[in-house]
Amino acid sequence: MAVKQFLHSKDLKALALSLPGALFIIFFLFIPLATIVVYSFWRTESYTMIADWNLNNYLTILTTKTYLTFLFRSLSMSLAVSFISLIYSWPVAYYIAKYGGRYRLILTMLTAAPFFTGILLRVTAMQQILGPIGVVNMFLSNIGLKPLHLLMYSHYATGLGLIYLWIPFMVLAIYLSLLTFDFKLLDAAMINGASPLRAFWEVTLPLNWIGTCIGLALVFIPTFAATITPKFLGGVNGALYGNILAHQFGSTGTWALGSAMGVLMFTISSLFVFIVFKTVNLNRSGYTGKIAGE
Amino acid sequence: MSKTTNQKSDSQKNTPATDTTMTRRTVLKKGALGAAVLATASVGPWVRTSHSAQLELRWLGWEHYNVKKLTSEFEKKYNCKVSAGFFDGNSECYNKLRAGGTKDFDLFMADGFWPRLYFKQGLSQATDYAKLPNIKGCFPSFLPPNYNLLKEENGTGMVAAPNCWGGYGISYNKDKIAKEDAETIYCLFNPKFKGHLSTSARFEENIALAGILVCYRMGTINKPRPDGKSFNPYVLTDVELAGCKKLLIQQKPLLVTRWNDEDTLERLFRAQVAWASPEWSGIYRRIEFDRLDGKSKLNFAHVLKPKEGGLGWVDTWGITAGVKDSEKLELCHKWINYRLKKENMVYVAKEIGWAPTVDVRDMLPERYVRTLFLNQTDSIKDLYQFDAPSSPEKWERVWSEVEAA
Amino acid sequence: MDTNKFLFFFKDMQTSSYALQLVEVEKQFGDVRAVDNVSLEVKKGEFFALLGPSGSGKTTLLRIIAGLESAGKGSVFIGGKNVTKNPPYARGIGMVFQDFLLFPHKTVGENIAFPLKMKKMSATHQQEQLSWVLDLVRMKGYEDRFPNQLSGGQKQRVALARGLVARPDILLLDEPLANLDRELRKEMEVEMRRFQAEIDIPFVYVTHNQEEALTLSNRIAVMKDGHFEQVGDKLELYDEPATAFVASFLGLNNTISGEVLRQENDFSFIDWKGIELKIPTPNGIKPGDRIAYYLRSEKMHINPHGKSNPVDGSITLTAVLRDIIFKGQYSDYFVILDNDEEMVISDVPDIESLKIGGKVDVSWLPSSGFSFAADGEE
Repeated sequence: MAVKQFLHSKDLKALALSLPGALFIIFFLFIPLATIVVYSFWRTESYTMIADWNLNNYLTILTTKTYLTFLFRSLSMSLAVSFISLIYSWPVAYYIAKYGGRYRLILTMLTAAPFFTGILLRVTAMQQILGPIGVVNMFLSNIGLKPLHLLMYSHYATGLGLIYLWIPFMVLAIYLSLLTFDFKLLDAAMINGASPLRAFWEVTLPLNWIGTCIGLALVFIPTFAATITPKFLGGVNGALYGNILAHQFGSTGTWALGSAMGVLMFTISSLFVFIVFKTVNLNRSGYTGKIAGE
Repeated sequence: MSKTTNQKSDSQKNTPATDTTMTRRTVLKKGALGAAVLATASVGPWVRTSHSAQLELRWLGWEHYNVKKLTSEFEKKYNCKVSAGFFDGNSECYNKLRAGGTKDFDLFMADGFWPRLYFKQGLSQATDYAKLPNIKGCFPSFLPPNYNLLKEENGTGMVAAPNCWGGYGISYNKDKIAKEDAETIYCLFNPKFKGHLSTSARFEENIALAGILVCYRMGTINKPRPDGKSFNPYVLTDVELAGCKKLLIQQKPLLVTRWNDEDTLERLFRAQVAWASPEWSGIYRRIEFDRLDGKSKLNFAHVLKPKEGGLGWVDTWGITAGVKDSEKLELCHKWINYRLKKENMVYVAKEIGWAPTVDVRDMLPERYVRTLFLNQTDSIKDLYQFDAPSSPEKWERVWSEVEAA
Repeated sequence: MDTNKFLFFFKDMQTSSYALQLVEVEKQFGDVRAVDNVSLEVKKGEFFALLGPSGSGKTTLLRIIAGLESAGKGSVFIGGKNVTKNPPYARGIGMVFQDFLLFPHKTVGENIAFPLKMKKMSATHQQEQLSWVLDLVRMKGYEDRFPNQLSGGQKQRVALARGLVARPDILLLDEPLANLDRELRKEMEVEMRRFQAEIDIPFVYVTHNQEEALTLSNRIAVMKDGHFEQVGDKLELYDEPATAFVASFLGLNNTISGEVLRQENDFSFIDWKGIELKIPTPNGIKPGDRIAYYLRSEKMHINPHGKSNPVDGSITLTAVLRDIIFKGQYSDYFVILDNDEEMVISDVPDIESLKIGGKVDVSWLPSSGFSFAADGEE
């Protein structure tokens, strides 16, 4: 009787509707993640996985100088790229939101336009621009200056490439937030004694902080996992965490070590997102719905 | 709108009049399209079965050997169909064959030690050289007793037939590097050329080449090896690996960058930013042809075998264990024989750019003979075949340490 | 001392006694002249209203005073200092906006203390000022609430508090009560006058609502098309309008216009759609010209037909009572005259004898209306 009731109830409908989404997440997120976690405690020998439970992989990546070097390189790269993207994206997004008028949609599409071409193409394009025989250096040598070594096959090139790749995300995140921002509040701020810089700090930034955080996360995570960009632009010393991780799976068949690296990467990315969003106080973000705790 | 007997429109009877007209129209369009697609697709097999059962030959190999002209000529000559599957590397082929590929494919391609491995594991069957008249045209360098990797390890049968060959020598800019500096692996580690050297990003070859140099200097190349076999740069002792690591770390500041694709290297060569790099000689050939045609002043040369030794490959055609039918087996041999035909090999050399194991020197212009090293085929006995690292874990660690330094 | 220097010095002294001074301010937006050669002085302690219809330029003028718009020509002096080139945050002003513009991410206390924070005032001093102003606007105890927890009236009081807390030289108000409902508006009007009197900071108050302007202010400037039609004491504007526009804008008017038939002494007789009316003659009007005559509704009397007892010299006309709107202390009576024109009379309510549909007499003294030459605008 209860079963029959259930079969006709709204609960069944709700279950049926949520099932596809739930199954998707289970099969394409949880199970792969769980697999990787399991592998990270096993080991490989000559391209075969051996279910020999051990902690060696984690010990290696967390204590050997070699692997810590990659971790450090990627962390600093991600933080630098995120920060620089922030500095660059805010004015761009602000300009489009405030002054774009009827061209706003077109301008936002233009920021996102490079995405239509795919990562590999964009990175190789950057090679053409930055490389030793790239556009920039050819221009420099044409006007009699030496080519900029900074730009060729270095961490700076990788950084530039990563900024170029992921800035549209941050611009869009901040722009979307600014769309619902009442710019007239800045008039009020200025009348009340705030210089434009202070007005930005006291009013604009806090009210768009959630958008900024989302943008930061959207840039940090892919940058931290970057593989292709450092491979093409980074030069001999440019190998980042993502490269070595990909190497484990693609070339050396050392999946167990690679899985441990993957788990660590996932943990660090999650930690970053967690820390960033901890700074969000719903009461203080111009969230006009019900105040939390009311 | 004429009435349609399409099933779909029946189910839409209950929809309001305005919608129905649109949906019937679109449905009719879709239905007609679907029917057309079905018709054309179904014509194929029907037409086929009207002939007597036609054999289909399926081969698994490197994509660049898929030459439409050769395929269609063979199909016409032997009244069969030939289809192909591709892989990027031998290990991919190995995995495919192990996972039931012997039933899906009749022929396979492999290089180095792989043909022997497949035979040992029962994935392939013997190739009868008696059924390959064109094998006589092969350079003796690629046949026993000079080249034995295509012979059964402990037997007399042949496991595959040679196809093309090549090296992984050093291409260098003659205007920037002197000959004696170039003809050694040390060229790639020479501080004299700081900022103008390059290698590929593949760690296996980088360690292997370093290995040859290290072992040569240590004198262990010609001494007995721990595993009792002859020297293989992919099987290195821990001491030798440590030497490689040291060398590779020293090499880092000398490199412009490591290239991931040949285009990048070609651009670096042509801009004269990179002066030397190991490569499969294809880039050297292109630049040299441009010089001969007067399109470029760049003067490049290629060292097929550096004095310490080098890497090389011979790729082959083989027959999978899944071929049981005698008629099919005959056809397989006919295919291999066909590919060994001189004219076809000339075509491959000119159009695809790989050096044939068949002697076609009299049929090729001089520039091809020279840049394909067809007068140096005996070098193959001193070139070590490409292989997989004996201990991927150890090699991964070494490479990570090199990258981190 | 040279006379010019003396005059200049004197003028300087005079300037500093004004809280706000505008000298020949102009502002152009493309083809449109939004503010046309406006000069103004507002004294300390005044409640000054800028009254006008939308598009008259009053908001633009206010924004120019605030520094949110730059004046094309002219100067702005606040507290005696020339602030024409100053940005809004360096003008020593407060402002209250129509949509409040409270910072949603700050508490009431933080909102109000914001100008003090910008001045880098010490925390204790800030607390003092905050306390004082919360008392003034009667919002003590609300310091920790957020703006979206407040009602409209409360929000406006917080906005007011924020504008006043730093004791600015002037407070600018841009139609602050427009977003409140009617009852609240009436209440706030009273409160506003009280605030202003208590703190003695001059208010410059922009509105399109003439009732509000008349209730709140001491002096009014009526604006039209970017310029001042008349500036003066509110009673002066009400009882002695200088132009037809001012006359029609203030109060509840009956507008009468017609061609002059003949003149007698200071009066003209005009033809108002068939009825002959006696009207004071405006300057330079001759027979044949058109006159526009504005008669305030409260200057008229209404009585049941035949029962009127008008003052000598009054005009009396018969009409039919169309509608009555009861307003408590008086009623607005809508009548239709014999010439089919409608008039409205504000008089003491008389429920007994005045019934809708009944015949009535309406009477008024000709001198109680304002006449101007009709510019063809009617």
